[in-house]
Amino acid sequence: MSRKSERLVNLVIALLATRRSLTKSEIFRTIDGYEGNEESMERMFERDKDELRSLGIEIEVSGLDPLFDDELGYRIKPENFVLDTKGFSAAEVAYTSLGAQLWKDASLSEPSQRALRKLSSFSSSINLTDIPAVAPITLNAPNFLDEVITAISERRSIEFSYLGPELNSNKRSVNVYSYFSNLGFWYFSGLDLDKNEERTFRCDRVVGDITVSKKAQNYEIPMNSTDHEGSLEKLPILRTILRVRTGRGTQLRNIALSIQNEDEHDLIEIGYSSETEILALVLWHLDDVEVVSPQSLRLKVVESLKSLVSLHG
Amino acid sequence: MAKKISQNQVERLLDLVPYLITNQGVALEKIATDFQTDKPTVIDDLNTLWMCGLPGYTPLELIDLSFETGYVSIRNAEVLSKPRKLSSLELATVIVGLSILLESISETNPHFVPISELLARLSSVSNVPVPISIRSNVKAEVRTLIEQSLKSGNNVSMLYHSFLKDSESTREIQPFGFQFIDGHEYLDSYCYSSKDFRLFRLDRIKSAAMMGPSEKILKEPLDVAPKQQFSVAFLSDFRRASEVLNIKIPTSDSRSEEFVSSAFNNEWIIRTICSLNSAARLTKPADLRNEVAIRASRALALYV
Repeated sequence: MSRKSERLVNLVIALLATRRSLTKSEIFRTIDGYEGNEESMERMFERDKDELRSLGIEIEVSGLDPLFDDELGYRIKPENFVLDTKGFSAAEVAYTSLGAQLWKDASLSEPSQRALRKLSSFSSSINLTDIPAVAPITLNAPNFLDEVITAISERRSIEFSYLGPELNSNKRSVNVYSYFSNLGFWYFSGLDLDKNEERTFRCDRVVGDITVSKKAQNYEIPMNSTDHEGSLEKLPILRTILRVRTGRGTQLRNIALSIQNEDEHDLIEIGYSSETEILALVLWHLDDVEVVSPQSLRLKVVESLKSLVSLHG
Repeated sequence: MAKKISQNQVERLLDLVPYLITNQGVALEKIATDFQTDKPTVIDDLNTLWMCGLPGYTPLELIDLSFETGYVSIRNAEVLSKPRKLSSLELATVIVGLSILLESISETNPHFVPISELLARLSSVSNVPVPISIRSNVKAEVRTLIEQSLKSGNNVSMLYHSFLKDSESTREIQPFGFQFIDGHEYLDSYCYSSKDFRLFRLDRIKSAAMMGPSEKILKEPLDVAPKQQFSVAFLSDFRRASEVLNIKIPTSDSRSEEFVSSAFNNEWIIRTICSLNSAARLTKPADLRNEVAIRASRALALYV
């Protein structure tokens, strides 16, 4: 049994139940647990207020008008304390819990469990069996997702070290605008303050923790910030024709623009945007695939194969 | 990794009251489970709560609890009877969770429309940023169908794309459950086509259809062949090469060391090394290294 928890709960009850603000002296006189001389009660009350605020409880202070020398008054408005469920159906409350449940063993598990605890006082009889109970996307989420979300909603800059292509990690400062998950990876985007350009970062390339700046409302999020999701998939503007052994190259056939038969081979045309990627795809298929055109890609493949042979021979 | 829920007693007490009001007569053990704590803590909480109430603190004002029988009922706690507001981070877990749910059910699912409407409403009344997109590599229809088959026990017929065999084939399987290994989702199942227990990567199932029920096959531990160990040295394009091979290189200083990893399949090792375009060199085992050279020169022969 804790006297302090008891006092804090009593304080919450009293401040919630009152229609008008309570002054400090009223609080000390009536609420159980405030003891000692004036000074120690004052200190106790300051700490209590801080603690309640850190739990997300809004305590309203009145009488701050400098023209009047009124004593300050305190109260908790029920509308700031209570979950507003007006207009939400039982089904919607159940969906809300379901959304939080997905984080059970994932990065947002702590706030999600707190949300579920609050929602646990709603009983639900709705049938949710045709909704998947697991969402592996949550399992791939970075453990700093909560900080990214907070940074965006409070417009705080973040700092972190980021792994470059050569594995050199460097410090980045970013005003975060958005976040998303694509094909197994989580990303966030924003203005890179050193480069003064919008960039997208893959969360698993962040080394260590991220630091969220103390200053809130530090920037605005532009309405027309670049479509970062789209920027991950560049339009395939280049074309290549590949000679593929019949019955092989399923991956290539799935993305083919056209397929032409030729004896024991097919001529398959595909589009690509990155030479590194098309090269990887061709090399993966080894002797099932030959690049017909463009000549430049053909030469690259020959060069790569030669180097593979010499490295492994 | 699961983070432990922070156990601030005041928060727990404030959430306990509305919970007890809805769940009158609930067992102490059930409370402990629902609040992720233990029975002694629950009893301590109840003893504390019992001393709380409105100023005055006579029995008229105090919260009235009874729990001697092991079942808890509560009276006289109107002020705290409603659940507390969600913090913005708590709401974020709901908003991101619902966005993920929407992605994993098909648009024809009866829950799709109500969930998207709820999501729009929740995000309009909060400042929580909604993820601009959630795209999984697993088809929602495939996931839904497999979930249904796991419940009904029916078999599934699926079109599966095996990257290593470089082929697509239709297989009938009996799924046992999902597994999450190294960032990928797998379906643990019995495959009638290969008459054996198999793991299939969920994102490589191109389509699936429900079949009739069949004799229940008892799940056996997968007869997993020992993984093949291999060593590589990285030469260039370090980040990409290490990500493709799923090897963590601790720092850029150590990038020129040799790294050991393992894979289930030799063909995967050979093709992956080739696809990396000399960014990594396979050093061990010698026979696999040789095989890379032989396969690469065979491919080279197409060009000369």
